[in-house]
Amino acid sequence: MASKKKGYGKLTRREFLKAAGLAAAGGLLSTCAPAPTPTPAAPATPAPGTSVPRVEGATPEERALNGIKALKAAGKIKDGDTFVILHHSGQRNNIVPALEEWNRLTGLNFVSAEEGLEANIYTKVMNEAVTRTGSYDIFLTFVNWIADMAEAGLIVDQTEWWEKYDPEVDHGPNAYVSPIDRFTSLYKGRRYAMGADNDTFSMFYRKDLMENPDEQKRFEDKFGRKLEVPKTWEEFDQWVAFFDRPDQGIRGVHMYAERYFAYTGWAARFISRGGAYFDDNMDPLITSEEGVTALEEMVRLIQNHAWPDAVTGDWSVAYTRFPEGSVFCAWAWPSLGKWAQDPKTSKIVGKVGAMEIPGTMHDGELIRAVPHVVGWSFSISRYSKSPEACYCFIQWFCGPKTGLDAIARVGTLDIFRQPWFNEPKMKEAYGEEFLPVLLANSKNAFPDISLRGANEYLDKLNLHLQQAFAGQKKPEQALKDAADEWQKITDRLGRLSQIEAWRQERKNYPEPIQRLWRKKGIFKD
Amino acid sequence: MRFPIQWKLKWAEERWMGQLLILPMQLLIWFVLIIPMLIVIYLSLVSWQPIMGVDWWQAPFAGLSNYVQAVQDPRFLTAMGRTIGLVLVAVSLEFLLGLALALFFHQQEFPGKRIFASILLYPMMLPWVVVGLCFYLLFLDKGPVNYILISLFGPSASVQWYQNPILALMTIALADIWQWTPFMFLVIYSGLGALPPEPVEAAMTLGANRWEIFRYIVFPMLKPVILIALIIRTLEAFKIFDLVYIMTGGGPGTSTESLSLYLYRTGFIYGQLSYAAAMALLVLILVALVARLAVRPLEREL
Amino acid sequence: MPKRAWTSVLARWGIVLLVSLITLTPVVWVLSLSFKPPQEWLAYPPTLIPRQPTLENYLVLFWPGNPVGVVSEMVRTAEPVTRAFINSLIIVPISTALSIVIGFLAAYGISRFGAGGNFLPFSVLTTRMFPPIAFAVPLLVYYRSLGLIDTHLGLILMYTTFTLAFSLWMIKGFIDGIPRHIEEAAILDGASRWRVMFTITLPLIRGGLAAAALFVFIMNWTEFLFALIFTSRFAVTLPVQVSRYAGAVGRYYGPQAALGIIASIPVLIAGYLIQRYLVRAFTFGLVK
Repeated sequence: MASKKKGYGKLTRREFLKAAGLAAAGGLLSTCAPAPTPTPAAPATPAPGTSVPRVEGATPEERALNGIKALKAAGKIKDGDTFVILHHSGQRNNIVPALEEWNRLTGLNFVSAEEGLEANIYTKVMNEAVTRTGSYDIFLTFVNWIADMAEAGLIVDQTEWWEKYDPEVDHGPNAYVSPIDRFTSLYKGRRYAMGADNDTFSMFYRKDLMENPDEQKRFEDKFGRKLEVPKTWEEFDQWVAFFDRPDQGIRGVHMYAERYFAYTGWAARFISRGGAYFDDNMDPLITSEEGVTALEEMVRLIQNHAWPDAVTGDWSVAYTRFPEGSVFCAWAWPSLGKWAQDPKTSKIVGKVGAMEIPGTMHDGELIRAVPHVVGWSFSISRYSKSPEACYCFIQWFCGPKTGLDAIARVGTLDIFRQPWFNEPKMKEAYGEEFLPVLLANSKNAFPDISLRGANEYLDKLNLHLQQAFAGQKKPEQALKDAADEWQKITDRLGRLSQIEAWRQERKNYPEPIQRLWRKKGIFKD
Repeated sequence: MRFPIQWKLKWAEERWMGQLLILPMQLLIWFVLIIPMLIVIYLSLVSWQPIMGVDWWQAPFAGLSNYVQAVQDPRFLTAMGRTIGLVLVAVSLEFLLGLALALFFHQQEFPGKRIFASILLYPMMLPWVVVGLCFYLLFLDKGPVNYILISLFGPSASVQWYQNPILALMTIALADIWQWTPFMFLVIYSGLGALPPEPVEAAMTLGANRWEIFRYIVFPMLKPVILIALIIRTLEAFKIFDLVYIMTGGGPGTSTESLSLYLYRTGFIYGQLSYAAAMALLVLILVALVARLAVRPLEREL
Repeated sequence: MPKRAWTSVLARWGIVLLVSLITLTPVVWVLSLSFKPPQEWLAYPPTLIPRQPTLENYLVLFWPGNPVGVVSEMVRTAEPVTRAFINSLIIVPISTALSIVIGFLAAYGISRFGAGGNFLPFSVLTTRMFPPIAFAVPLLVYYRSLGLIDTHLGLILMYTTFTLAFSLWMIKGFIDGIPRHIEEAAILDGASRWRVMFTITLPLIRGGLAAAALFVFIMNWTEFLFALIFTSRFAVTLPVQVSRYAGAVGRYYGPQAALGIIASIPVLIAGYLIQRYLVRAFTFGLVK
């Protein structure tokens, strides 16, 4: 019953309740504000430029362990202290056994907190940046989230510790493959992360069909050249078309054209043609002729020679299509090679060949550009009880020996130090033929957009690209729409800061590509 | 009118008791919801992103610009339209099916009725993620549904369910209907059971047939229950997220993106929490207005 | 039997069969998936009966290191699901009970005394109109200051509050359906209002309470979004645990299906128990 009449006493009581509630709310609200962001503070070591006394130890692992001892001696940490590592379920197998060993060696208590959904790791990380609970000490995240995390004030600058402990990442016989070491750790010229993975895209094809003499003859007759692994994208398109046989249930290619990775195929062509995502004013260059041609080629390729789930499926489609034999050629992360050679999951064991990603000819020089997609790297929370101890763990985990053991276990982390490419364990895990190809591709690897707001740039790009692949838009229009969105993002995030970051980021690209840019006058340095 | 003193006292007692009864609920809502709500409203009036490195209470004031942007955002508007369409289709079908099943159950007696009821309620009991996964797998290019179609009608019958936005939305609607018809069934069935049998018996003795009894007696008495079920279900359906996320991710492009999915993307992938807050508040206002209109007849029933 | 009886029996069973088929097919698919080894998860042509059925997917949930087969290699160092199970078994029944109790009290107050005027019942409903995503970060900040993140208490509070709208509205509907004169009669006989509420009204709406309780239970049991955001190690619930079965190559459909089936068992039990309640309550009718 409506209570217009009943209400006098009630109204005052309600008002009282409301007022009390608001007062309490105000009080509680003020407690919601945690301590203000501390000004970015470098760890307590001497200023850069002055010589840093290096920690004793013959290997990175030894130095890390000595670091822990020193920290304990200085009373900064003690036995049994708990440190939490946030990572993806896919790395469970790489990390957890290592944690056990580390805890045994150091007496500390490092534990793993895993997440099943990658996107949720980003959410948790960003939430941590806001709430600062200190419930995570180490993050193992996508490489291109480092910018967001650094700008949000969440992670610490590790550069001085690199100098103090020397993880042997960018020099020495144990160095990472370059340029992977650079773009998995640097942001605006400082080390905010340490790479723990190699996600250079790798391309695989059906060796058996290539070695078949009938096929070879037919190919020669048709194209007037020998049947061999294509070096340029043009040759690639012809090669794929040749092996595209829908009536036999095998399509030419599987390259991603779906919601999250549609950019990979396009970017590989675009960059190898000498394109770049932005110019030095952060204006997008993707609408250039190189960009449009690259997209037109990709759209034709996918629409004519691939299964429809290249557009509608998710990233695991490559891992089912290729091993079951329904595509001739597929590319994905290096793990696809493992998958295709495993008798438990693959019908084409022994028929798998690995190839270098094709490129574009420029005045007689072949420039390849291989997308390095996603990839994981370690970063340290500013709110950890001892960021330096966390750093020691990271250095130890990625060390030449410990890292090898970790990568050899089945998980999403892949091989990143150069000497490992010759290790018998790795040859067994990846297949002897594949390793040199992976190494070659890694040397030509270029990073995802790693600026602040990277997720947004990439997502909006993919959105339009996928529409082009689905036939909902023309390629030129898709790129133009993406470029417009990019401009808005840049303006919102602060153009000057983005320019500074981009100028550093493009220096992490492989040398041949940078040379090509200089030659074409896109960048001066 | 004059009221005897005893009646006045009784009213006072009732009022007091009424306040006491709603107190726990009010406390919970005030302390768990109101404060975050205030923060949301605040966020919608500033322009804040965590990656700007500024604390949220120091974010620059933005007035109503987030709201203005939202109202002109085509992606927001189409997501809203799409979600409304999806909700209308899914909920009406859920209602009709649930009603039919409840009537069927109410009128028929047969052995194994309880087991049948358990079977019917099962879809609600599976966790969302599993339901989404299941339907996703069912409608894959090389999934069981296409397999059946091919076996019955030949290879060209295979449908690219996820490539065409309309078909993709249909599969999502199907998953939703499958999962939530049991809810409608449950509520309406309970409602039917609580109805007094006398009016029905009286009508039967007067010679009314089944349809007339339903239309003129049962249905009017059921109206409050039906309305509640519809309102609750519609509100929930409007927030559809899990199914869309798992089955299509909103793709191709944004052609199956639901409102909640777009809010999620904006807030958690792009990190634009202020903008997401503003959009969410717009949604709240819109839905509240519509719901207010829907709830009026319910209040009149009392 | 007369002809009309035959066709109606046939029609009845026809409907039962058809509806069961539609309802069960996805369930059977999930069940079948839970017994399939990895190479059959996405195999084509799809099979209903696994070619090489295995109990691995179930085993690996509780015994991740089990030596049986391939799946255990994939999830070798995972945590067993017992913790998630226990968490769900603690958090969900408690928050459901709280929600129903508080909802019942409030529903009675609103229905019989008009407490809260026109505004309160509707404002409670608005808690369901707001996309929970937008609540997440503010709620996170707030919970952080209260120290409730990743705690059982935190989730219980949240689940109780967010399902109050359901409890309130569903129960209120049932209370509204009980004619007042029944209660008035008892009052004139000298019973106090409280007594009436608990000894007269409550038993009469038992069926409705049961339905509301079941629904709230299911909502809480399958709730994913907030659990995902607010828990990380200690208060992880079953739906979140399902999402953790992912790894080097996408999701592990087998264990996810297996966990989905197992996770639905407590709800099935709850539903079955409540069902008897439902049926029994309705056979009473409104006996004075």
